[in-house]
Amino acid sequence: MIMTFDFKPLFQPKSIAVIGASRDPNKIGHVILKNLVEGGFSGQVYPVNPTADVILFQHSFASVKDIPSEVDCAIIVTPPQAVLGVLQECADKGVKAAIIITSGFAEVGNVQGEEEIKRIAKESGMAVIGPNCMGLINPSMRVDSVFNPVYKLGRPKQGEIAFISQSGAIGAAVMDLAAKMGVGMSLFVSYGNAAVVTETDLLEYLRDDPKTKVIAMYIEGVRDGRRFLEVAKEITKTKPIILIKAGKTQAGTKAAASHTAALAGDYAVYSAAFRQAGIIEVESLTDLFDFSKVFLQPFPAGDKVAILTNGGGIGVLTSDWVATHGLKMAEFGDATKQELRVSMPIYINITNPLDLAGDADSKRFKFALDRLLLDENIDSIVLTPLLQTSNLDAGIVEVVINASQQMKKPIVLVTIGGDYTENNRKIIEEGGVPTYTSPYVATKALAKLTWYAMNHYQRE
Amino acid sequence: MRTADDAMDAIELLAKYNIPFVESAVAKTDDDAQRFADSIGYPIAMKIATDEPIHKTDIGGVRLNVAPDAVRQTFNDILKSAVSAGVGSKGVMIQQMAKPGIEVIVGLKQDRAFGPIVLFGLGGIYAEALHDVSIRVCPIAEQDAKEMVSELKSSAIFSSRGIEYDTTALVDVLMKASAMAITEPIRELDLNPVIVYPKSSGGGCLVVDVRAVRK
Repeated sequence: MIMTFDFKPLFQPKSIAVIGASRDPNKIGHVILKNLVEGGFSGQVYPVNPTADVILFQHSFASVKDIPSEVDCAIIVTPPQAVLGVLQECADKGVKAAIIITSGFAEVGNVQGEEEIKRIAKESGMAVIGPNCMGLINPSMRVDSVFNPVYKLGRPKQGEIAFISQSGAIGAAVMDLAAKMGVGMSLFVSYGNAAVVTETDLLEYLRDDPKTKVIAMYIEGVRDGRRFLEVAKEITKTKPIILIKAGKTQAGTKAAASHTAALAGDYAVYSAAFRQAGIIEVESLTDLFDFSKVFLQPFPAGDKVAILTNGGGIGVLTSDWVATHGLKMAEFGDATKQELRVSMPIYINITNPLDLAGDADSKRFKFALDRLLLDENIDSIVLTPLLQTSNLDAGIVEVVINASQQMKKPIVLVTIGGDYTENNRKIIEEGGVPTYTSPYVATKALAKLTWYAMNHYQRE
Repeated sequence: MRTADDAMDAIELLAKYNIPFVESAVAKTDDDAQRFADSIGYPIAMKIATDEPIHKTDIGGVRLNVAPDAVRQTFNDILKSAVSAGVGSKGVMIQQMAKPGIEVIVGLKQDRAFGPIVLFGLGGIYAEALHDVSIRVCPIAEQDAKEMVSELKSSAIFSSRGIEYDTTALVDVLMKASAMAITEPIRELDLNPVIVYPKSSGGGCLVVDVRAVRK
């Protein structure tokens, strides 16, 4: 069903009604209310529960229709048999959007219930997410319908990556991990059964959202494959979509009668379709954000990589992966070579990878990095400093962050070690630099960025 | 289980879309077989004409390089093989022997999620054994068709040992197949094998066998 939606009341509501709010701290109707109230939601919150007067110090209403003011969005967590009645009340009151957390619809065979939800939505024009979902998180306004307590499930800070997920459980867990990684999000949506608002509708919203630069997705299947591709193809011209698809093995295949049917299994077609639309498909959940975050870097003009390190071995290892992933090792320009030769100690070989030696301090790194940033023969930079050396002072953190903030070329950092290294790596990550503990992942991410920049970005 | 009712006149379809098919005719009697063979010109191949999804060679339903005086006997032998294998047929196809080239497969299918898709791969046993195929959702642009050819892991074969094969002809067939997928009520279509020829000997490509199933 194709409707046009006004997503503002859903993603930027000024007021939220939690229908099915509960005094019982073990119920999700309590946790959601608590997350909104204590999480600092910037608008008004109205609990709705006919059996309570006050919940979490908020006056509770018997029905959404009793709320004297306008309600932008309703989060519905009532038992399934009450959902339709409550949704109709929202429609009658003029609530513009709803998130139906409750399960017990098409996923358990209750198709009729879901058809009713569609009907109510269509008649009223409401934007409805779900049913059977975790809903959404908008970090900038602290909109949060996810029913996991905050001490168990971390929330992402505000940022430029939108994450939409077909699975609530995986979506939430991955978001928790991303939050720990320091990934900032513009929006998280777990869209559940997609009875009304589908993943393609969400893509259309994100296409036009200036706060979103990268779209990450977890899907198991798509509703309307052709429409999804059409929309994705258009979006990927200017915004990358990074996607992981679950369900790769052939489920329920009959004996394929033709060669074509045998060769073009469901997953093979999905994968080809993604490629065709310029979507970047990843193999693992950790890759999803490891790759998404690199897309916030400036796009490289080409595929020539410079590696800067203070430990020969890791430079070599990284250069192996550069080649495997289809990138090229840059040849420094003459001016760069000269300037480096003149200022570097004699025992440093001016070549790529550039090994500044085990006694390098942050000043030496800065000098080299500044030269590499200016060299036209270099499109992207992989920094692989080993932070454990006695000469490498803490200034390296500032050097890397400052270089990255110039946004001249994409820079990724790889550093491997224990607590001291990890602490510094996290600070560098907070400073906006994509950091990794594996040269394999770092170079693969850079390769995906390069492929996108050179083959798909704003392609005709 | 597919029946003859699902089968389409695949050869007619190919003609409609100007996809080159090897010269052929279906003989229902041994007299017809001889007549067709003489008129098509030798060397000829004879194959059981069936829409059932079987590998014709496996049931002894294919004879290559049939001599002019062996046509009638071969006709009867092929029909017997089909009967032994329990395969229904419409007769025996008399075909001109295609000159050797590189064998590829071009296919169409209605995908559950994405609708009509087109597939390309190296032919014969290689496609299924190595899974070296490229797939696109229809309709495709020329750029997509070109990528489909170059993205095969074994794409180097089209330009090896100093011989350049006519991949432009393949791109052309892929585009036509895509157009067919959008317009015709096809559920599945196999063009297998399609033989592509070196540019130096005139290039082009030729479909040697086809099977189509209606939606």
